[in-house]
Amino acid sequence: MSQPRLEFDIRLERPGFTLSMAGQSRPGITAVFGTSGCGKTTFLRCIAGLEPNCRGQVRLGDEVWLDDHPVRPAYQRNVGLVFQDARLFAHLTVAGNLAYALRRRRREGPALDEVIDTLGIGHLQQSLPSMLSGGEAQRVALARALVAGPSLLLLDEPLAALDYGRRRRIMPLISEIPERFGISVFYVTHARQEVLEMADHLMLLEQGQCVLHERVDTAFSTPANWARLGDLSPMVVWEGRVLARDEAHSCHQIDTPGGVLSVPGEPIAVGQSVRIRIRSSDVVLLRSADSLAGQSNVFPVCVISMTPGGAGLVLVQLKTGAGGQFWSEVDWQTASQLQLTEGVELQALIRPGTMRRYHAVQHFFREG
Amino acid sequence: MMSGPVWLSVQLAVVTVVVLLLIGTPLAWWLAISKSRWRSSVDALVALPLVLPPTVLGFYMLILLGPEGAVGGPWFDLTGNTLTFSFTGLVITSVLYSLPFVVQPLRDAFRSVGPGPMEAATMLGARPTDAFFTVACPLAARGFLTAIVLGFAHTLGEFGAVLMVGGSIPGETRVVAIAIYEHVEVLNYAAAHQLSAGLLIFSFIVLLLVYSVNRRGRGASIG
Repeated sequence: MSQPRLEFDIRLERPGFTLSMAGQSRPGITAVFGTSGCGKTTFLRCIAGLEPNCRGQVRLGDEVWLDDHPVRPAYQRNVGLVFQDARLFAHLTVAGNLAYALRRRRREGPALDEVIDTLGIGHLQQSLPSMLSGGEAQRVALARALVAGPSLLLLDEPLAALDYGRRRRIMPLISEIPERFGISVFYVTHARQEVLEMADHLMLLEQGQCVLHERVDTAFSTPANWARLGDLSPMVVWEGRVLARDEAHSCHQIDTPGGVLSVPGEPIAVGQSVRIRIRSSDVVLLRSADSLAGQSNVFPVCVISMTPGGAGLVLVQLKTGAGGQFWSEVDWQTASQLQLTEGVELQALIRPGTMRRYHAVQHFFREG
Repeated sequence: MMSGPVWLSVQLAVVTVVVLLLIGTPLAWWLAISKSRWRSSVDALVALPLVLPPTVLGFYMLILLGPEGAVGGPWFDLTGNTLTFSFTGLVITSVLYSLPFVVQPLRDAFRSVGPGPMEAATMLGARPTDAFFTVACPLAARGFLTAIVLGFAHTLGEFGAVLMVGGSIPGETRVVAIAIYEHVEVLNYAAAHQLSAGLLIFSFIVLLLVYSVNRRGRGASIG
């Protein structure tokens, strides 16, 4: 399953705003993240070919889309775009909307039935768009974009207008798209939750520039990024895999870079990938493990570094025997009681109840 | 029932509406989406027949279409016929006279469709003309209905411009409004009543149709 790679080096000038971005697509879902007005939507529109004043280069595989002037107009670019407001054709039924895309598709695409099935819209076929709920409309819009057989899918905040419950139901469907249909996805959002839940990579935009393009776990675990990702407290994000599930206690054994963690919560299938967030405030440091006999999620750790944090706290960087690094935050008094210095070995308890688990993530990680 | 002037009026209205749809649709689309600085001027030009006395329009058309005119002259050389006092001349006049009644509802309907659905169609691989006919036009269907009905009814009711350009040649330019005028001039009130009442009832039904269709959804307006 080879996905053609999108390469871009684009520039768009508007009064008071310049978009200037270069990069390439990576497999899976890339979250295009940033505050309002940073150029996320404009970036997608440039790639799609909907911005006539966009200059620079865009190519997908060997196909040149833009070479300072459009080589391929938008309708010839094999790219799907799902808008925030769904934009279904009001004069056609759901089936009619899908047929519209099917008739115009530019390459072999997924079977109509498979798409309908994946997005669970079989029962809506004869409905008009005006009869659909917001969530249903977005599912149909996603299906319509997929049916067109795109080589690349652009999603512009497709969940922004939906309530929490509907969002939760659609997120796993979107997560499935790259693997199931063999396409890369750019996903514009300003919701951190959606990034952690669905994306493999993160592109952070600030004032029309891409200032970060990394794997999600790396991006969220790097201190320099915490402030620009929205004033995060010190944290790490670990990719893990479910090793075993204890039905009786609804608890999972999850293999992570730091070791095997015991994480409670709704059931996840064994073998599934998950993402675990551990904040510095979720970690308790102790000299010895004696008082913690039988406790899970206790790891012998080594202090790698200590830096002054905010409000009289010290930020301690730790490393487990397995090599996973994470953070703890203690006040100076505790630090001196624990005789914390670089290289000291001690015990860290990660409080399991505070771990945030993002279980929709189930992608393959292949570095492009 | 379809006596001479009535039948002629219907023919004139049908031909005028067809011509207006052919030239008015692209014009309305351009007015709806263009960001050109000429747009306001064209908008004003299109609206001109709304405020101009029909005799002013008729007067200029008479000059333009006359055998010495910029349009009538070449037409005479080409066909050997004059445009003034002919059915063709009436069609040309009516097209200009009823232009805003067709272009404005279409323009407003296209504008309310907005660029969104067109962009969505583009992203599904539809060429611009494809997207125009399969998305913009069906979504503007109410605007088309309004435009057709108003264009038809307005052409049927015109008097001043038609009288100036066409005169009153039975079977050629003697449309219903002129027939009424002439019946009144010779004090044949019975015949005038017959035609006037017919036109009144017809116009009312047409407007009723337009307003009840528009009430059922976002409609196109005039003005």
